[in-house]
Amino acid sequence: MNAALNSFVAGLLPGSDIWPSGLEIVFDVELPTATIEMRQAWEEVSTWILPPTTEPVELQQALQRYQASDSATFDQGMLMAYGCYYSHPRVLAVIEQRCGYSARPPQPLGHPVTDRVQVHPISALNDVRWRLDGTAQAEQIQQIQRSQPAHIWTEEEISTWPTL
Amino acid sequence: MVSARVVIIGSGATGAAFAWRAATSGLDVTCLERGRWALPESTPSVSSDWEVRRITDRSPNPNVRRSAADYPILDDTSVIKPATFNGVGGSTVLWSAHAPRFRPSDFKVESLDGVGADWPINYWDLAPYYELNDRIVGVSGRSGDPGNPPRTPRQTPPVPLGDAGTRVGAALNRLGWHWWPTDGQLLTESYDGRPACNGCGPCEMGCFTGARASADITYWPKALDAGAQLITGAAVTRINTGPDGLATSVTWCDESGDEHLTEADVIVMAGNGIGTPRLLLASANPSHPTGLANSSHQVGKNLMLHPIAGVTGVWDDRVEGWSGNDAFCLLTQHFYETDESRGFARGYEIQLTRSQGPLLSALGGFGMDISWGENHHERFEQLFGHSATLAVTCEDLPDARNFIELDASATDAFGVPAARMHYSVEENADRMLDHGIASATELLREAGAREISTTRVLPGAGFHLMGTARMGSDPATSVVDSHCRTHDVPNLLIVDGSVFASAAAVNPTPTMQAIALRAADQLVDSLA
Repeated sequence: MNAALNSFVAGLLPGSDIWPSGLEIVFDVELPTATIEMRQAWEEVSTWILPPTTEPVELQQALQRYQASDSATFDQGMLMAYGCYYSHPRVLAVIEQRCGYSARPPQPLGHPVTDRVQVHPISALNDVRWRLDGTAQAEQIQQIQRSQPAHIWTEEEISTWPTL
Repeated sequence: MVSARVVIIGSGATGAAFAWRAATSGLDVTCLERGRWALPESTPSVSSDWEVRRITDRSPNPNVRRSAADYPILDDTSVIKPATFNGVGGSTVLWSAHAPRFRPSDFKVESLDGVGADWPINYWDLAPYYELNDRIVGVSGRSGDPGNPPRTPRQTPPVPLGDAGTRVGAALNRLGWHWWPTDGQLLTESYDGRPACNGCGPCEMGCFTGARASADITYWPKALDAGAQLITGAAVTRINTGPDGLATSVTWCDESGDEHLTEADVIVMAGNGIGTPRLLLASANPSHPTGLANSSHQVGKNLMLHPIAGVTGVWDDRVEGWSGNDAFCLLTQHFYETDESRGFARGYEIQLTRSQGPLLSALGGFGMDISWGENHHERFEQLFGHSATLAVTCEDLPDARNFIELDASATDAFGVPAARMHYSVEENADRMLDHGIASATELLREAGAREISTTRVLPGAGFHLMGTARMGSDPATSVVDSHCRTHDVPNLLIVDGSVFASAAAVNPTPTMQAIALRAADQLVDSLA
């Protein structure tokens, strides 16, 4: 594996006792849908001059310099690295354990919402408050809306509203 | 029953609605769509790499996605990047389905507030078509909002507020600000053969179940049943006119590059606020030297997009923002109408969106500070599932600096020049953004967020494309009349967001669809 890419990935995602490092993950994954910009960035990063992973402080400083001087390449390279990392089963398992997120694709099971508390717009706000537009319809309809707030409107009633 | 050959260009939200309404009235309808069917089951939301695909081959930005069906949109002259999709259903295939309506004042901004341009129609003219559209697509929500004119009971109940929504709703109550559950073209119960949403999250990737409406699964089956024809892989390269100046036919290329000519009595543009002016300008001929329907020189002008700020709150405890549809659950229109003391005309709405999946959260989500390196994972755990974002959608006013033009430095596969997008945030909206960000920040603090970050203008939010062939009574300052007929070429109609004379501060799709339905009825009436 290219030494610069190794350093790049290790610098972005050093890992911990809990989280796997990027080096353990990223090169395991193929991203067939990666964009041209991501692939070009990956190639460009492989030409960068970066300290080895055994010099983390110097590596961080070098990456900060590249981020400042060539942010487009840095950002696209980071997309590539993170894209691999955050779609890997090992990483998703840690997310599930640490964050309570069911680490599966959105479908087919979904992530249904369970409301803890029901909250409703308070009644004090229920004054009709849309702005009149200068038409007779607006005045008439707003008057009915104020006087009969519980009225259930039908398509038939609304079909009588047009002016043209 | 009337008879006419109608060719529609574009099968998205408006082309589909028009096709259905015209075909059910007996017109001979053919729709040309440059993309293909995007089958719901092809959405990557069932794949482990779904988040990667959300920013690569399923990106809403055609310049990132680079599908064969997309045409180039040069956007280095725009601070907001385009979000469009070419395929059956158009951009509704990749949309979030937030479906608010314009308010009555939105149609009268010049006469009420002295800015922008009035429409020659008003809210009341569109109201029956909003209702018809809601019934066809299926809308979740709750009627009775005192902030808007009345509407019929929604087809299904509103989407659940979820944890963050409950906190923000309670905060809105404490602040005394208007709010209401959001209307969405997203079913919470089964309706018209489609199932209820299971809250998977990323509606913008396409809906696997069909709970979220898109024109390919709502209008198109009905339009095809009514006899409309839909030709996919058909990229229109020009609209042709005859000696009398009327539109006569369209030239289009199939995916092999073979050229075809389809004659028509009526041609209907439904190509969105970029695609429509692009084709009108590319169809210039000696009788129409500045482009079709462009004697006013307004084709491509007045581009309005809605600058949107993202204000993200982070809570100490989890709000499980990954649960539920990601783009809406409630909105406040407390600051919607003009209040001169605020220093700007018109106003904005704030809607609550939920949060993103692991990858996009790790990349910072909507403006969160999450560094790479040693502290990355610690920070990720503080943020992921703990955040929600308020989207501040500001009304855009027409501005001479914002427009679409042709740029021949790039072309599509058939030689039609690219569209170039010029857009910067105009001064009124810039002041509005300041106010909206302050309001959203106040709201999040009231809701208990301990950390708040802001993205002043979301750069990827170029999905509301409006104004580039605007409606008006005066042919010198507008492109189409109140029937969506172009002033210059009466048998050429435009029914998409291009015709908007004002942008309002809400998502435009229901208004676009209501306009298209109304235009179809008026065409039928005019032919009868």
